[in-house]
This record gives sequence, C-alpha cells and structure tokens, in this order.
Amino acid sequence: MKDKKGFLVAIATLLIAIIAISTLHIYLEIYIFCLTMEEKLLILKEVDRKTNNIADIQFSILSKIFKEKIKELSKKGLSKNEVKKQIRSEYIRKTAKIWNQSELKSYLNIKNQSLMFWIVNVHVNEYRTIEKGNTLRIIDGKKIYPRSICSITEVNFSYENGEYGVFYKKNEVFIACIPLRYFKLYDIGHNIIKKLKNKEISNPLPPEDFIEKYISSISGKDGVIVKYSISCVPIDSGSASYICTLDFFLVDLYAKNSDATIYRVDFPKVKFYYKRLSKS
Amino acid sequence: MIDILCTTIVAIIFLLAVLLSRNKYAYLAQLHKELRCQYLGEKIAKELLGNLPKQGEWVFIEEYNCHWLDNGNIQCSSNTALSNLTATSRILLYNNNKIEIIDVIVVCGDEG
Repeated sequence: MKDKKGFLVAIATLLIAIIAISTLHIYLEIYIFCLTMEEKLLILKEVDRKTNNIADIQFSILSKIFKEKIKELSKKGLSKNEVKKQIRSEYIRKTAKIWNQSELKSYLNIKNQSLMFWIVNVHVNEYRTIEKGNTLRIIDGKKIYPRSICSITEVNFSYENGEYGVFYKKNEVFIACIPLRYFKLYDIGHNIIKKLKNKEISNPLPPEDFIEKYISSISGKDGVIVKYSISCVPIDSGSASYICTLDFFLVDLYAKNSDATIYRVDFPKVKFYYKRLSKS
Repeated sequence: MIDILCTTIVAIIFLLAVLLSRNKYAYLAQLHKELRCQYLGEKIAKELLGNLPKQGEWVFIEEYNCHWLDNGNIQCSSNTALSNLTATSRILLYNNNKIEIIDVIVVCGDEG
C-alpha cells in the first residue's frame, strides 16, 4: 500500500516535471518564433528604408537633370520629342553610372540578397492633374500652373529572400515640375517661324511696322510675351525688296512671376523676304 | 522509499533541463537585445534621411542625440546608453552628382 502511494507520488512528480519542462520549451519555442518574426520585420524595415533612400536619390537625379536640360534646351527652342529624348537618355545614363559603383552594390545587399530597382518609364509632359499619392516636387519657382512642364518617372523596387521568407515590392512615381509652359511657348514660337521662314511677304507697310503689328497680335495673350529684334537689308540699293532676319524669344509671365529662373524659350533666327508695295 | 528515489531522479532531470535551457535562454535574450538595437538603428537612420544634422550641430531623434564624427559618420547615443551594444545602419547622400555612404552608429541604451 505504501509502495503504491510512493509510486503515485513519483508519477505525479514526473508529470509535473514533464509539464514544467514542456512549458519551458514551449516558452522558448515561442520566444524563438517571436525573434524570427522580429528579424523578418527588421529586414523589411531595412529594405523599406533603403528603398526610400534610393527613391529620394533617383528623384534628386531626375530633378537636377530635368532642370539643367530644360535650361539648356529652351535656348534652342527644341521640340517635345527632342526634349523628352535628351532628358530620358541623360537620366538613364546618370542612373546607371551612379549605381554601377562597386561600393553601392554592398549597400544594396541585404542578408545576401540584392535589393533591385529599375526605371519603368520617363515621360516629359504638361501638368494637368496629379494623382493623389504621387510625389510631386516643384524644382523652380514657387508654383506650377496648367500646362507647366513636368518630368515623370516610375521606379519599381523588388526584394526577395526565400531563406527568411521576406518578399517586398514597391512602385514609386515621381513628378518634377517647373512653371515654364514650354510646349505652349514652343507651339507659339514655331507658328511664328512657320509663317515667316523663307517666305516672300508683300505689304505696303515698312517691314518693321509689319512685324510689330504681327507680333502685337500674338504678344500679351495668356501670359505669353514675344520679345524680338528685326533687321532688314535691301536686296539692291534703293530697292523696295528686303532680306529680313527676325530674332525672338518668348517669355512666360506666369513662370517669371513665380520667381522661376527658367521663364523664356529662345528660337532660331528666322530669315524671310519682304517686298514693300507702293500705296498707289 | 521508491517515492523519494523517483522524486530525486525527476528533480535532477528537471534541474538539468532548466540548466541546459538557461544557456539557450541567455543566447536568445542577447539576440533579442541585438535585434532591438538594430531596430532602433533602422528607425533612427530612417528619421535621419530627412533630418540630417549640420556639421557641429546635434539632432535629437527618439531621445538619442546624433552628431557628425570626425571620420564623416554619424553617431547617436542617449544619456542612458550604458551598454556597449551598437547598431550600424548605412545611408546614402546625394551631393553634387556624387553619392556618399554614411554609417549611422547607434549606441543603444539599457532599453536596447
């Protein structure tokens, strides 16, 4: 009877010990699980922080190139396609040059897996509406207006680490704008060129008066001002026929009033022939 | 007699299990501290991205004051940072067409 009681006590003690040890191990397992989760979270935090860092750098590169290129190209009055092409190629070139540095590869390496990103699109467009959530930066002047010129880039980020079970994907759209309404000014300027270039114009007014009248019909409308100078040389001495050269640029008053540093578009000189008709 | 014997054996097994688990627990606790310190380092590095101190100035983030070191890195520490546990996070700065890599060294406090 006594041995039976002792046996029961021993079994009870054994059970208590098994429960205690199991509890301890369960606690440790839960602790390990929590630490694994924390480690995953930490990797995600690091990936997210590096993504933001890279995105900010990409946005700075785009902003800088966009401003520099528009400043340079507006002096030549280049077309939309040319502007777009030059900004895109410069942005891709500079991005590749920067991120191919070997020391940056180690920065992109997180737990033996590389954080990858690629540029999906680079657009140069007029500002109409900006979707909520897109990152917009005004990089010249204080304010943008409808038809202001903007550069838009889309960057995709991806990180996959099967060992830790961490997967991350992100898509960012950046928009850098300057108040200059480049394409509007480009259209006005090229209409002037189209109307005059290599044309023969016959009019009773002196050529200077004719141009002044023509320009004043365009200038001042919708915040666009035409500044010009004209020089005419008679084809023969005493002749009423002239070869004229018009040198002009357009000023965007909205951009100028917004304290922008780029507020005008220059155009190539236009040569045209002018015949002053006698009034009779 | 058998009950005392069994109880003693079970107690010894239990003690051994506890002692063996202690090392594991100490290792996990240390790992936890390190993770928390790295987590704090990440948080501070993220905050610093938009709030970098100027040379000679201090910036306070999460009760940690951050300043530039002579070697071009940033160190963040708090008044309670008594432990020697540190976490290093790297951030990139874009200046004049060049990218600089900055180490943000966070000296974690007891809470780390």
